[in-house]
Amino acid sequence: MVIKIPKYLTHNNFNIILGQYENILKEAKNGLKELIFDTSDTEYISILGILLIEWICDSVNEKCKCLIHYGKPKKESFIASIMGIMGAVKRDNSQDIEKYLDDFRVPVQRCLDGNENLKAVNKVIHIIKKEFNPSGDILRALNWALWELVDNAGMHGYRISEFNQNYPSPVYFCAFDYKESVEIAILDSGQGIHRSFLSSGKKKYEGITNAEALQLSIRDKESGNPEGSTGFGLFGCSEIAKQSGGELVIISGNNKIVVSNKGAEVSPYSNFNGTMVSLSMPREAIINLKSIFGEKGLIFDSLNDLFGGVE
Amino acid sequence: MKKTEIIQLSKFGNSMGTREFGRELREKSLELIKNGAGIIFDFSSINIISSAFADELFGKLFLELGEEAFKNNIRINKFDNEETRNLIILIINKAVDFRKNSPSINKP
Repeated sequence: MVIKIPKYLTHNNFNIILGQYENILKEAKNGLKELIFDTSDTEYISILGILLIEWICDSVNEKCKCLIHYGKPKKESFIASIMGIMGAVKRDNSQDIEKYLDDFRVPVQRCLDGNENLKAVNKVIHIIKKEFNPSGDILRALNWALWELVDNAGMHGYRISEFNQNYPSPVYFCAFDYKESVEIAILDSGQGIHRSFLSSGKKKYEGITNAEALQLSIRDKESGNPEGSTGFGLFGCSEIAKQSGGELVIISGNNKIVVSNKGAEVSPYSNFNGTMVSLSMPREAIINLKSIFGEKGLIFDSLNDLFGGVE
Repeated sequence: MKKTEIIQLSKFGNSMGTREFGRELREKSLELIKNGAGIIFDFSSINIISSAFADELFGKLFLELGEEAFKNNIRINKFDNEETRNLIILIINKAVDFRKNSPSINKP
């Protein structure tokens, strides 16, 4: 089976891949022998696209142990190094690809629980700090956003796995250093944002559409619940995107929302039963995280006396 | 002088993010407070914490202990610099504020 990857694969055309997902799985169940992602004409894949393909590969591998590879990526081109972080070296055993690995500093992380998340996020942030060398503002914003998004993904992904212990839903994430911007991307195949709102049990969310759920998800505290979520993560990320001149993209269910300093725009999308998020920001952006968190309720100002000394 | 336990967060990484770890620390803290100790969270080498971690640890501790016991038993210190301190305090405040002033999250 051959899946043709377009010249540029970004959130604007994931439909090409997602539209074939059910068919790919069907073939996998029927004992697919070989799956080829044909990248012979591909020049660019966004990191969210990389996560999407990795997730498809893992889904296929759960059904059958078929050979998966990436056709013939153009040598000496951008795509070769992207294949590196996708795990193509392992899959393709190609030396041509291996030499490009140094171009990309953060490989795809797959995490199945909070402990793995803790280690992986700290590892990713360490690499970003060392290799990307972003400003303090950007590093802090990336670090905070990565935690928020990975925690969201973990929380909603695991909820599905509680009902099906055999298929835990991993969280995939990675980061990318462009010339002028940095980007993080996260994917989970959990319940998605719409079902998360519907299952909250709150009357006000009964009957909301998928598109409305995505719009609500970027509002402060909207998705908060007593078990855990503060409902601040996606709101904070959307504020970072707006403030920095970057972009937040959320794909969940059959909609996509793109947030930038021009506003938030929701559009129809191929169905994805989970959530994909990417957050990009210009390398030189000035981000004031403090203004996002607000200034009220300084309860800890009175908590610095260390009990009058330490015993 | 109050009996004190110091929890050095950097032993677990340079940023604190997971809900599970926040929960773990909250349970440990409650146990220590029950035994009469005050807790000092040492933030040296910590760059950032997530809202989820802040909520699980500080927001829910505030909810479980009540404002007075929380103020009497919880301290934070040793931030690397003023900028980090101010930001982390804002994130903690947001979490405490969320639990204190958002009773609607528990209602349908």
